[in-house]
Amino acid sequence: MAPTLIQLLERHHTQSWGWSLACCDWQHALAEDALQEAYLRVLDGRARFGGRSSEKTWFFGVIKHVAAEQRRKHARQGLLQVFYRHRAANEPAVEAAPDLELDQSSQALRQALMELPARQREILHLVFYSDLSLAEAATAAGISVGSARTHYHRGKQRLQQLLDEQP
Amino acid sequence: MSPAHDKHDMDTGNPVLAAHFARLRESEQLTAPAITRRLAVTETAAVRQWRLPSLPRAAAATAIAATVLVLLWQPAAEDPATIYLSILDQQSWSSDALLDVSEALLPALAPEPDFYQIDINFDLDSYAN
Repeated sequence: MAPTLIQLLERHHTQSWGWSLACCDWQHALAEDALQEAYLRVLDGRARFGGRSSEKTWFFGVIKHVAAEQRRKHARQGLLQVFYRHRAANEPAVEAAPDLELDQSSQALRQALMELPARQREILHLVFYSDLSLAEAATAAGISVGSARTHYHRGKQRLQQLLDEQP
Repeated sequence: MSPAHDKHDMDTGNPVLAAHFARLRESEQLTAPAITRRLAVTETAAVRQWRLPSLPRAAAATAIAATVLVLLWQPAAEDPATIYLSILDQQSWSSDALLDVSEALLPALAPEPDFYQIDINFDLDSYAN
């Protein structure tokens, strides 16, 4: 029996969460909102699977799209807050994930990934973290396979270099 | 090393990076929000969002159904004699009202109204005083 939509989302949930975190620069609140919105768009039919890729690749593309919207919205709100100087001291601001939960290796990797260009970071994350092929990663990132391959190779070298430089 | 690298990348990945990412994945999985809670919330919101756009659709369907019913429903034809007699029973009536009743359908027992002519003579002299 073919898995239902909910079952598909459940199957990829943890990797979707990781991808959402990466798309939101590891800001938990933003990542949660992005993932929630992505689920909502899939369930209410605003995002439809066209069958041109795997469900996982397609859903990662949805997350990336939603996360980009969330980041833009958050950036606009941040600019307004700075401009009007209305940011209250006790206002819940979007914060990065609590680093205490991560081991040193993971913290180092996050830090190094943040120093990479966005495309390189995306492709490396999709390939290494989510086990996508380069073609799937290219689809999820919305770029050509050739471009993804270039980002992959350059990003891999740079990431290794950054990790080696860290104490 | 993941099969993804074997299939698509001749460089066959990077075991050190793969190990780093595997550790990051394990750590982040611990912070993942519960899928059941999130999907339950999402489904509720999805149902709510599904219902709201469906309201105009339901209203449109109701309006179409009502229009069809109005078009199909025709009032029962009233007996011409009844119409005719009701007009005659009125305190005042005009001949135009009688045109609503076909002459061919007039019942034989219903007599046409008589014409009354009232002669009124005014004594203009009495008003002059």
